[in-house]
Amino acid sequence: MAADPNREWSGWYYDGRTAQRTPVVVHLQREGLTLIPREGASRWWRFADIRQTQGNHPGEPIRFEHGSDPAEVLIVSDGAILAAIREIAPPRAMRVHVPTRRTVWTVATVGTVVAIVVVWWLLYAWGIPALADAVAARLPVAWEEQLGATVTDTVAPLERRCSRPAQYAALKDILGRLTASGPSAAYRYTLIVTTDETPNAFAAPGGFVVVTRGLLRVSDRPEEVAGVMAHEIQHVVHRHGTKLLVRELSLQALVSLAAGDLRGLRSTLDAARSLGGLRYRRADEMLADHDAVGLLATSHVDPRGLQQFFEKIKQSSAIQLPAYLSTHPPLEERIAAVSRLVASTPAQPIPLLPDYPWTEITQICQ
Amino acid sequence: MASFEASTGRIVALTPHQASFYGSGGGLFGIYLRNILLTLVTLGIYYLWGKNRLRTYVVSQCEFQGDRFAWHGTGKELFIGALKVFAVLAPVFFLISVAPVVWKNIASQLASNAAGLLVYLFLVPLALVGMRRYRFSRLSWRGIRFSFRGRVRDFLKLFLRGALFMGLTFGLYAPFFQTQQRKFFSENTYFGNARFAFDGKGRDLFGRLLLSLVVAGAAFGVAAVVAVATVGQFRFSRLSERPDAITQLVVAALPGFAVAILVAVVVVFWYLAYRHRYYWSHTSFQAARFRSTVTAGKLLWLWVSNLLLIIVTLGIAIPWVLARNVRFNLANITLIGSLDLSSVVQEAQQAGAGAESLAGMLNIDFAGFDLPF
Repeated sequence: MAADPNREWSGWYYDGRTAQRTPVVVHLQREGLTLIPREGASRWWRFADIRQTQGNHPGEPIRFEHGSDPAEVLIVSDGAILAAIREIAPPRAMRVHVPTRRTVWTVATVGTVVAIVVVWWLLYAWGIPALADAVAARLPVAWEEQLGATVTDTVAPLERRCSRPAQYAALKDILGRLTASGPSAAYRYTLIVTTDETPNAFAAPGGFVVVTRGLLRVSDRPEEVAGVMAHEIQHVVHRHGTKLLVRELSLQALVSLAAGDLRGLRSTLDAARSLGGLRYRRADEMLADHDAVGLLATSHVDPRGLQQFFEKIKQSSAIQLPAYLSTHPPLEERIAAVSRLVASTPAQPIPLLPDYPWTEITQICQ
Repeated sequence: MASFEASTGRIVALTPHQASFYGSGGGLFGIYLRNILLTLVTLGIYYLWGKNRLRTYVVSQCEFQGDRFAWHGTGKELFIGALKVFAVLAPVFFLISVAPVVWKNIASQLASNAAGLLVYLFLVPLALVGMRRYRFSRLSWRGIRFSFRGRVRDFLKLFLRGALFMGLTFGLYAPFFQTQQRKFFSENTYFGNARFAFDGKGRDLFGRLLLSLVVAGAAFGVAAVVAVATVGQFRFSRLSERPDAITQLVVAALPGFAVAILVAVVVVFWYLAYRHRYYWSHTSFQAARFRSTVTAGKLLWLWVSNLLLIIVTLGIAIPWVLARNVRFNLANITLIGSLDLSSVVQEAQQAGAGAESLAGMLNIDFAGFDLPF
């Protein structure tokens, strides 16, 4: 094989057996390199047997290794040899890292990273929530009940619950009227009243409806409380709380996993026990309002109670906004939607608790 | 530089050889950035490949006598090593960290403590030796591999005895213990078939350490006396009744103690720089001996400026700090004397990457024979 006189480089040869170095002239040929020392025999290295192990960075001499360990080494200072090999060698004969092509590699790496980040983001924003919703929709009611019991044990512990018999029975009557028939009948409902003075109510998975004494205090008639209960029942029926918990857990798990931190998972599980910290989505709230009005009408409860409750909250600056009302959608929007629904829903209301003096309802905690 | 050669009676020239670092903080920053991104998106798996990439860069940017060093490790071998170590040690780590939390009984607490002691007494020496075996076996210069041939059993004896004496002497045994380790690490390090030598003695450092401790202790003593004298008018028995008096006492004592801390820091760096010079000047290779030009001032400035860089940039400057450290190490160590490289023959040694992973898990790194990688 004749050497091309135009293609030669000077370099250093190391035999891999001693620490001595030998100056060589390197000739490039189509199938490999010829290393010619000043004295002694030439060496022929096929491209297929050569590895480039240094020279990836600007200014770094090019290091070629040949054979198995301990390998022979050739060092060439002139980085142009890499471009020349690329030009002369058959495609894929040898993997060459040319520092000037690092930009291409950098762009490719950054591009790959961006693509992976986008995939993660899609998974985070869409994939996991969709999957979580599908899972939550198929959870057995018994599991939901256990989940709900855990949530209420944390948010409304036993020592903060109110259960004076007469008042509790009156509220159970209201809940009973609302859950006697329809899709809401699939759950066994548990009513919990807490000593909390902030007007608030929430539903935990599996049929737990929690109402605060503060909410009872601001209501002027049972239909207003029934309106709030109807809203919470819809969250139970549509499994909003269950979906929210599963979604939140999955997302946190994903984040913990992405950060390589499995300890975070345990604290997430602890934190998720409190539903109070979580917020429903806008669509979930609007759906619960919508179906609550329908439930009130079919249960022969005056649906204006819900509307009145919302309006009272809006007008009274003294009343601290319940957590579940303080987020989106805005109260005005919800009042408008509910009043439209109430106007268009035919209702034949039968008064709730006609013989019960409603002002005594707040004594439930005494 | 010259020396008198007794055998021939001639004055011969001593050639100083120095290594250089051609890497840059910017180059390292690119590698760090890429490593962090890829580690995040691969859920941490890329970490070991990233670590290897960083090492490859740092090593290949170091040059000695016109030849670059080369790194032959791979991310794959680190990953396999980590898997093996994890499989073997998972039960031990379970005993140490999870069991006492889960079971909360005396037996699991005792098992946890026993496992913790086991880790310290046996795994740390194992990792310290194995890590060197791995790192030197993957390092080459002029195509000749380095190697570390110290045996775990020998180091374990040295380590256990040293740990015992350290406990008995409240740490005053440190110069002896550290010098013994240094000797073990240096004398078992080879370049090809040529061995490094070390002739340092712990007693040569002991006086300096004692002096450092006395000076630092005296500084704190003086600070305490000054503080007490300044606030002598206060009656200490009534301090609890006068909260403002406590504030005044603290304010009065602060400048004195600040000066004492400063003195202690300077003294510590004075000792560390001396130890650095001593260790290197007692390390030799063939007929050449190392020499360190590290001084307390240089070392203190390196630490302070590195710390400031990291704090001011919220950690972004870490790659630059790494580059500065390597450059500092190489710039301050010279090998003086003649080298006969023609007599050095390849004697590569096998070494697995398991101990390297173990060292990573135990969070221990190079100490002693401190090559900059």
